[in-house]
Amino acid sequence: MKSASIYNEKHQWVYFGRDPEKPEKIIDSNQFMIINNDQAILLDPGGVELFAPMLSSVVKYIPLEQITQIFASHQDPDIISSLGLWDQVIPKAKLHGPWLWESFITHFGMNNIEYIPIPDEGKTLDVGGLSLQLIPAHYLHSSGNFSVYDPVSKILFSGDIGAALEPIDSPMYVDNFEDHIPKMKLFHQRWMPSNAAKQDWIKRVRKLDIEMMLPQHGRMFKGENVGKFLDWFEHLQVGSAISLKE
Amino acid sequence: MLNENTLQTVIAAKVSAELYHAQEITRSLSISSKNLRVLAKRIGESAAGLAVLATFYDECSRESISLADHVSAMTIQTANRAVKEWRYSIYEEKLEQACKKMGDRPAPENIMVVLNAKPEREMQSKEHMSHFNRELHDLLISMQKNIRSIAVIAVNSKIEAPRTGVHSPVLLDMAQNVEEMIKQILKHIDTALKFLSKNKQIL
Repeated sequence: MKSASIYNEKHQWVYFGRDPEKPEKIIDSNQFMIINNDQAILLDPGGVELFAPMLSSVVKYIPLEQITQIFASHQDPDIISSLGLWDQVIPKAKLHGPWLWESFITHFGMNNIEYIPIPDEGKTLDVGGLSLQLIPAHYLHSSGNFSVYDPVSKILFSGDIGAALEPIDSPMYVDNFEDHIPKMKLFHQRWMPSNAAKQDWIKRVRKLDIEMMLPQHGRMFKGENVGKFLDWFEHLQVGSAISLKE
Repeated sequence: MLNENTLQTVIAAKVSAELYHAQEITRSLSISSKNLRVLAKRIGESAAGLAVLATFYDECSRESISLADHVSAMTIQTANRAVKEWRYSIYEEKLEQACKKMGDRPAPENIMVVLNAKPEREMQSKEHMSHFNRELHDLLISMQKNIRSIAVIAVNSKIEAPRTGVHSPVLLDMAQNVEEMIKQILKHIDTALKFLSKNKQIL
């Protein structure tokens, strides 16, 4: 599994993904970790198949004991089905997830970790003195869903918003936005069910100062490509990519 | 209390992390060995001894990189295997719970096949872990010896330095850097060996 420090100033953002050894049939996913003052949070730590490479990669940056929190943007298996295994190695950690999915996510196995439900309106989350904003992203695509904004690094972790389905050897960042559109279009049209929810999220996010947007699949957006994505997404009709045979 | 499979996964991950850091420094050592060769060539005849040392140094650092790559690949494979075993042991545990709930009713045959095979599987798993840990331990010791050889080269470079006249301060500086890198690599290897010794029962 590849890993890279994508922001390293007063605190650090680390990227994990593009695992060339992952089973072919499972979708590639981006995992992130924020480290601040000897504390760390894992953002969408991934599926059970990725647990071993994730664990091996994470401990290159920080001792396990310092991972005090986990964030799950929603309930999908590629987001958090590794929970039952993390539960054994970081038993004192807290898991922040949508309140809506509490009794569902715990099906992945949770004997030690404590679930902290995130209310619909979101909340702030402290990681060693760094205040992260959990922003509602409901129906994008899950009915209980959140993005994470770090106002210091100006990084937005957008979960499935901005995701693209691409080969494992794709570049880490979007270079040409126009070329990237076909890789994202169907995903957003089919997985995102609500135009109203989409507009609500865009309205919230436009108020933020964002330098980098990190989706959970595919390439990351930097600089002007963040604005280009928001403009494109605003005009995209979602919940539309279905053709049923009679 | 972590079970054996969980413990093995964590140990493999931690050893892998230490080797990753050692590997990064070893790559710098390799660059430094190439610089020493270039310098020895530039100095010419008065650095004949140094040229021999540089060749030996290059060989040792390449060998260390190869060992570190090997250990790293091994730890990743083992972490994956340990997780599979871990998940399988959870499956067996759940089957046992299901059988208890069945009371007097006989358990389905395919479930009994899994449960009857459990002691054998556990033994094989333990043997595999034990084999892995011994192999890993031996590789780390080889790497440690290799790195110590480079330390000897650094000391000899210091001895050779005065013969190279104006190049002496550069050589002394290089040897100093090499010694510092070696110290860091050995520290990572020692930590990796300590993680392994924590699991004495398996080792």
